[in-house]
Amino acid sequence: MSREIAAAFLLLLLMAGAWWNISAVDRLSGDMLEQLELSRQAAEEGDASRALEELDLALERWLKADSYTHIFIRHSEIDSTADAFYELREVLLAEELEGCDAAYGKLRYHIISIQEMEHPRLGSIL
Amino acid sequence: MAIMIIRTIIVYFSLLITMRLLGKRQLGEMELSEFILAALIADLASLPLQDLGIPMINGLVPIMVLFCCELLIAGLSMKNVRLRSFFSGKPSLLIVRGKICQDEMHRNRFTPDELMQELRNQGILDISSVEFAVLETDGKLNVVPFAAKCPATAEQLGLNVSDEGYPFIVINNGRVLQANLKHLGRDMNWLQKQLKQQGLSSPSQVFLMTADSAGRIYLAEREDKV
Repeated sequence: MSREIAAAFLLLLLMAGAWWNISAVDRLSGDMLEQLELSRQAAEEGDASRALEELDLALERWLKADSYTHIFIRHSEIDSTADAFYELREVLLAEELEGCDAAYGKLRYHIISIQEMEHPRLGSIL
Repeated sequence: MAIMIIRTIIVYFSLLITMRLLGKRQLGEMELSEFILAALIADLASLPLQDLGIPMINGLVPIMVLFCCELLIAGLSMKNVRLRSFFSGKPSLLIVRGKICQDEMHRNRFTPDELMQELRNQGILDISSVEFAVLETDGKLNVVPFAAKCPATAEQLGLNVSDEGYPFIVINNGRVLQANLKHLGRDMNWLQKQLKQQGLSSPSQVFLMTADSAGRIYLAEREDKV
């Protein structure tokens, strides 16, 4: 019976780990989306350097979570998110603020996709 | 990760139910849940190995979940007979007193050809000589012939035969197995004596030596090439 109890305990531990993972990915993506929104507002106001600063803070947050993301997130997703970050950065560096909406949208989509990927919903399970 | 755990549990139980519905013939020699575990783990373990873009944890977590499911099901099945028959099924009688149970054959998707093949595998050519044929939960067919068709035992023939005992390996490729010597109630002095009688001086000269409780010995000398 002790083996069955250990198995049930391990299963509960895995469930707890999964719950922790959801909250960790929510925190990470929430922080990045918040920072991204500040950057987008600055770009909308025509302040490219502030938009770049805010974006760099979001990028820094993403890069700092590297050890977490490489363990829990598919590497293809990590690469596409990093690509979207650097694409938007290039647009802001060139101060092409009129065409930056698409680049913001792409990065936002990737971050939300990472967040949603971990949430158990009927659609994501099936 | 949560999705992975839920998916693994769903796939595990779907496979369990599917294989249960498919019947015992698919199993070979494994219990149903063991078969599913073997089939799934082999595939899951190779996933992160084949694609380095998949985190290792995507392969490891489902394996751990399956391991827990298997342990829990095995444990609960031991405690509850109904649960055991639900997960592993019940043995089916395919032949009763020489008569084929066609309903059971149909239920287990067992064709007459396959039944004959299984019987031939066990050296039985005549169905009417079979009293019971039981399809076990691990997919094996156990056959019990009518008493009159069974080979006569020494007891039935009134013969007095001595119990030969179980032969233990005493020397395996030059290595003395002390635990087996102990099982036989012998020691190294006895072994050295036996070797001397065979013209040998050391266990390292022996490839295989067995002995039983009746004192019978089999000895094969080690060849230089081995």
